[in-house]
Amino acid sequence: MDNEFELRKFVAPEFVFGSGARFLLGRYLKNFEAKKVFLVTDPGIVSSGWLDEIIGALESEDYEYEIYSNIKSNPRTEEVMEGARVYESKRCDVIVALGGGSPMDCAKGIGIVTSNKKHINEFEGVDKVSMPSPPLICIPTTAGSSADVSQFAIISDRVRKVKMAIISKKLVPDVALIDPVTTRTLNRYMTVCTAFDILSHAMEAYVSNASSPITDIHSIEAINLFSSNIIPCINDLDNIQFRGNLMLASLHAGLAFSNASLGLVHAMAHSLGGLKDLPHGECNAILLEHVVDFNFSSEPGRYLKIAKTLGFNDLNDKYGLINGIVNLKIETGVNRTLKEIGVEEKDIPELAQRAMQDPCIATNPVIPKKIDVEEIFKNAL
Amino acid sequence: MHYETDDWDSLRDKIIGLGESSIQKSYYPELKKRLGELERFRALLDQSNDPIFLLEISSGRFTDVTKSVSELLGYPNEKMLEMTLKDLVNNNEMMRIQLILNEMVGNNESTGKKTFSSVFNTVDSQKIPVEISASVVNFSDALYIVMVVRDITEREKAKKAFEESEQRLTDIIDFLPDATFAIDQDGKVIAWNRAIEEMTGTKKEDIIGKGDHAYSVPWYNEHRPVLIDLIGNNDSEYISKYKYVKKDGKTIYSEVFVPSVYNGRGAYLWVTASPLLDSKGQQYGAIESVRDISDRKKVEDKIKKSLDEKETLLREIHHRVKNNMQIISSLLNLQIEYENLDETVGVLKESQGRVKSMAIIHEKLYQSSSFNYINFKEYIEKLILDIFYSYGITTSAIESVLNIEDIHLNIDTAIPLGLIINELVTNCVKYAFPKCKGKITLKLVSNQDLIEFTIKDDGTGIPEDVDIENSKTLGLQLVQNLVNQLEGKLELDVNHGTKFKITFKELKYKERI
Repeated sequence: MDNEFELRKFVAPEFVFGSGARFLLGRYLKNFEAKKVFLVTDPGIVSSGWLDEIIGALESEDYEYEIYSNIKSNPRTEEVMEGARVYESKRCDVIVALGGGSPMDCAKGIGIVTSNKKHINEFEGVDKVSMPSPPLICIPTTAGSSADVSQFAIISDRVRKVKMAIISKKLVPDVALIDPVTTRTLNRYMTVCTAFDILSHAMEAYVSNASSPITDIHSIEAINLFSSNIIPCINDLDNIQFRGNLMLASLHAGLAFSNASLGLVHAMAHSLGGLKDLPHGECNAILLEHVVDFNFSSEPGRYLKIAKTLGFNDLNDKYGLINGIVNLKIETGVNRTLKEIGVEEKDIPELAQRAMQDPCIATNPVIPKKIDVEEIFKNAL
Repeated sequence: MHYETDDWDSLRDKIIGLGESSIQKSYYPELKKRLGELERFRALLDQSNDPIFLLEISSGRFTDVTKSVSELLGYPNEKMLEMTLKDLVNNNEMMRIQLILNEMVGNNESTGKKTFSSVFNTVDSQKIPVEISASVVNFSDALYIVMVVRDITEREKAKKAFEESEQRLTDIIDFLPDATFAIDQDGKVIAWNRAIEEMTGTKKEDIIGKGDHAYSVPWYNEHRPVLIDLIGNNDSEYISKYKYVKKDGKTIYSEVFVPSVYNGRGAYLWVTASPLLDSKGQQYGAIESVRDISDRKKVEDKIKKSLDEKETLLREIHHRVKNNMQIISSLLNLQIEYENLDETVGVLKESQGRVKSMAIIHEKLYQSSSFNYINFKEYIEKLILDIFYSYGITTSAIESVLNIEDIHLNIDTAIPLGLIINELVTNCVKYAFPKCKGKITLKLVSNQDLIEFTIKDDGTGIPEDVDIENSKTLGLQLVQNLVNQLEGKLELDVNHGTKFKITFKELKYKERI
């Protein structure tokens, strides 16, 4: 890096981390003088029982509320627009998002649609949001997406078959109540997928051309916590200690990538998610070592630091890191290929084309050509 | 500051952000409240009937308008925000308004409010008269003009109707046949109609608005008070300028001859002046009407002259009647000189007395002012003197006591009554006092319209066999006939001397067909 002190900014929401953080919701609603709460969640959370607990808390404090849970994974534009319509028609004034990345991104979208009175598509890109959302309180229930602290929202447009990245400081939630206890109900597969989300966030933020000394600390700590807790956690899913550490890793990764942004892994994963509607975490996991292979020469020192932090000490080079990742995927059971999840070779030019248009490309350590991206997709088939 | 152990925990919680109200974005509720207030204020403004425009000076565009703007002009509010003032007024108006606004903006700060009228074009090209109150305001370092616009269609209509009605009233005053003018409380002329223009030769436009008794100049060639100034003013100097001044309530009347009017022809004028009072009875001016009564005056003079002539004629007639009767009386007197027979002389004398009693009536008539009534007391006094004189009776021989009420009787009553008195007094002096000594008492009293006449003497008395109703003597027959003519009652009392009493009512003038 030519200049160690290039300008950098760090934005984070007010967040409370710890067991029982979710119970602070009432206090924050009071401070925001909420009249009617718009509660965005998804069917999985409804069945997990976390929603009932939150509703109980709202009712005990006599808050009126409206539940919006008509959300699939990879939230869609029409779900955002419908949510905004309900928010307005029910005259809500505070938004609470309860769940993983999908309900939180959807809640962010609903917030800016209602405050700006525009279609969600108009916010696609960077800094396209003029008015911040009404007060948005996030209670994450997965350790991975970090949408509760990030300036990102990813919304699927099924008409154009793209996942839009909306990036704006105005998307940073007002408050994040990060309670590790809520992740206890995640099954093994979801735990692994979201954990690989943490790893890809942290790695991409660390090698990002916009990383900073502050984001580096969070990236490395996220990788460290991921590394030492992922295997123990999937072997002991009820252990609150491992769950809490993974949740903390997610928070660190979120603070890092929200400010340093991401890279090729996410650009390509968004493309896959848009065209094929594939699960985000697994896409990241599939692509991870292939992008390392492409990027390594641009930031060898940082990649080696990542390998060391992950405890891959066998070989002090690119292959040490790639092998380590591949082995970890095998150990955790997310070692499918793109072909196995339904991608065909004929899809690749289109996928590469779309990935090249994703804003995450801008902070990749090297700006790839389309043919490079096609090559990486081929390697991941 | 001193803290207890319990306080440390709570203080720690607050410091690390876990206090009840530890929140970074605490402005939100306040913001929401302010926004709510703004929305409420906005709704309030939208409720205003008068549309309000916010005009950005730099761009000339409307940057905000209230809801009533679209109701007034028919453009949707979003459309209004793309428009400028030029889209609402025609070019000439725009130039005029631009000048007004430039002047306001010229000082680069708020210069208070300016109000002016204009005409706005609506979306369907209708023209709406408006009154605009504009003021310059500075929001966030940009200058704006706030225009509160009032639709004055109704007001203009009312104004027009009022002007028309006022014009009609002015026309009514203008076409009044009587010369009329009015002044306000300051004495300035506020109305001057056609008839007065004609009468004085002074044109309305030369006098309206003028004070200081300017209205007197056309009449008197000087600034002086006229009748209109006498309203609420009893200055005798003013009043003395008029032949007479009559007040009837608040209205003053007078008649005056003004030599200068009608180009010096002059005219008799009947002048009426009244105060002008508002609905609360407060005076706000005065009005004077002047009527040319010269023609009437001429007729009046003619009538008066003709009446004078007739009076003179009547006087002359009575005089001649009296003279002729005097001649008859003189002829009878002459005749008496040539007669030796006492009986004949007596008859002639009686006739002479009768003629004279009538002559005196005519004499009294032509001396009276009215030719209808004579003073009967004076008449009786003269008649008695005459009778006494013709029969050579001195007042020392026969005393006459007259107790006559001062009464005026008309000729129809006076002549028969005069003849009756003549007969009875003559009768008395001839027969009642053989010794040429005695007293006659005459009494005339009226009680309401009933008149009572008594003649009484203390003489020898009338022979008892005399039947006055069937008397054979001419004298008493005459008396009886004359009493009947008076529709009166005759009573005779012969207990002590003789007493006749006649009761009658004054005869009303009988229409002679």
